[in-house]
Amino acid sequence: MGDDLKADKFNISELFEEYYNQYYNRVLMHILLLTGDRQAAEDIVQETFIKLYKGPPNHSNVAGWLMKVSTNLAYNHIRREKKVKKMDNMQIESDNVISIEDAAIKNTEVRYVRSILDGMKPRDRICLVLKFLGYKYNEIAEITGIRVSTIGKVISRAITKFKGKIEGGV
Amino acid sequence: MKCADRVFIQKYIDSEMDINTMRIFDKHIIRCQKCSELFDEVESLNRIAESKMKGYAAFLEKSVLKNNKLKRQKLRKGPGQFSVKSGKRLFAAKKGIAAACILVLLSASIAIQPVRAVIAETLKIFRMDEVKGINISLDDINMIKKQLEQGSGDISLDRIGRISLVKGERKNVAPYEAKNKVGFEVKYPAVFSGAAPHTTLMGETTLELNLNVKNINEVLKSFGGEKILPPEIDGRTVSLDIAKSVVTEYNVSGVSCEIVQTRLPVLQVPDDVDVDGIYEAFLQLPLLPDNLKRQLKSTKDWKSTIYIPLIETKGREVNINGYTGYLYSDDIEGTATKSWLIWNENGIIRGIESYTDPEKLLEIALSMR
Repeated sequence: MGDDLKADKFNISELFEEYYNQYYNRVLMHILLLTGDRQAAEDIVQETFIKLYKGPPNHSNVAGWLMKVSTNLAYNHIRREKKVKKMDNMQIESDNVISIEDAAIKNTEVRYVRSILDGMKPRDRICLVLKFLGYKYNEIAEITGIRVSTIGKVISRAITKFKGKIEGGV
Repeated sequence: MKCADRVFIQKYIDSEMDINTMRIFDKHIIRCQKCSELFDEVESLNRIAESKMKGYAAFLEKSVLKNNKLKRQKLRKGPGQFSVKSGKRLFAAKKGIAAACILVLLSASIAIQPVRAVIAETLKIFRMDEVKGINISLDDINMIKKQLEQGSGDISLDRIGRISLVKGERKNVAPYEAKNKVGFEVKYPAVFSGAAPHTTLMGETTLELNLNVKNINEVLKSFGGEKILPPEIDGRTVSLDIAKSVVTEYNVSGVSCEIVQTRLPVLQVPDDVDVDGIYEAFLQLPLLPDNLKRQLKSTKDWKSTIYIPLIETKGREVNINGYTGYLYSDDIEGTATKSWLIWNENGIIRGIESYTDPEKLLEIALSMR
């Protein structure tokens, strides 16, 4: 009897490790795109997997679950950051503000994209990134909790941010 | 149909509408210049955004790969902390000892045992330059505990290495005689003035630790550690020299308390042993919660620091006449409150413990002259 119990435990942890190995990079990339901040991204991915361990979803779509949970964490993070930045510097909203971290990146195009993303409203950014990661609107809605009918509007608005700044950036 | 707006076109590009609506728009756009222009604009923006995002993603991916080594390490330290290595035998912690030996080695005395015992350990074993509080939540402790308890097998102290304690002579002295014998200022609580404490003088004590590297590495690996200790340190002795200490016990109007005072201890490690390597090997153990790792890592000179676990709700930082102290209390099975307090006063560690409420203890500490 004791052996059965052990075997059960064993499988769960084995499965967890499998998920971890399988999805870690994918979720990390995804969150990196959302936050642009490696440290934060790693923390978020970490927290996500901890959540997975503590309370795995009762359905089999673990990948979807991971994306959803990590995106929400990233969402909160971006909003929090934004608030802090706003308090620090009211000018941060401007698209051309480049953070210290950005300055370390020599690639101007990367810097440019990042400044655009940073200048967006958190939910616009999330939707945009998810769209370019290949998610359908209904999946984005599912992940973010934003109504499907609104997603198109959000993405459309986010995309216009790329307007007219290409020349300056590249 | 009515002319389209940006949002509509965006949805059209993203194929986020039913096929009939798309067909209708297909027909419309051929004839409508306005929509055709808007389409070109949105489509071009979409393409640009896509290519920029792709470039950005590729850059991020590259940077992730570039830091692959670092990442793998982090990965291990990451949620892997909850992944029990499969296929390998796990060494279960027979709670106290196993935990204590890992943690003593870490010099981070996390409370797997009752906190009281840990503090006592800390008091009697690791006394260094600085006393630093480490925040840890009960959840974290339970998580570590759970991990240590999982699996089968055993870790015992003699697997980790040989620990020998050369205890100094213990002798009872006249209450105020101790003052002249320890070489530092012994203080007495003014609130107990007039009472004669039972005083004990403890001679110098040395704690020696002979590491069994092979076994330790086995344990590290079983807990998911990637870094292992270098073979050179096998059998080497790490010693901790503890100065003389004075223990004064009071029993005044029903309240008894014990005060320990001593100098900070000295940790002795053979020259060629890479202590930082040892520290790091333990720090990277996945079973340590990340916030704890971060706190431990942020300590500039861990070698001269005693860590005091500040367990939420049980311990807190207090100010003892300008010095930072750590005050704890715990209910012993609902019958009594046990409190203890430890602080570092310019290199002299003072600790009090008593079956009384923490405020009373603080009062005693504050009155020490």
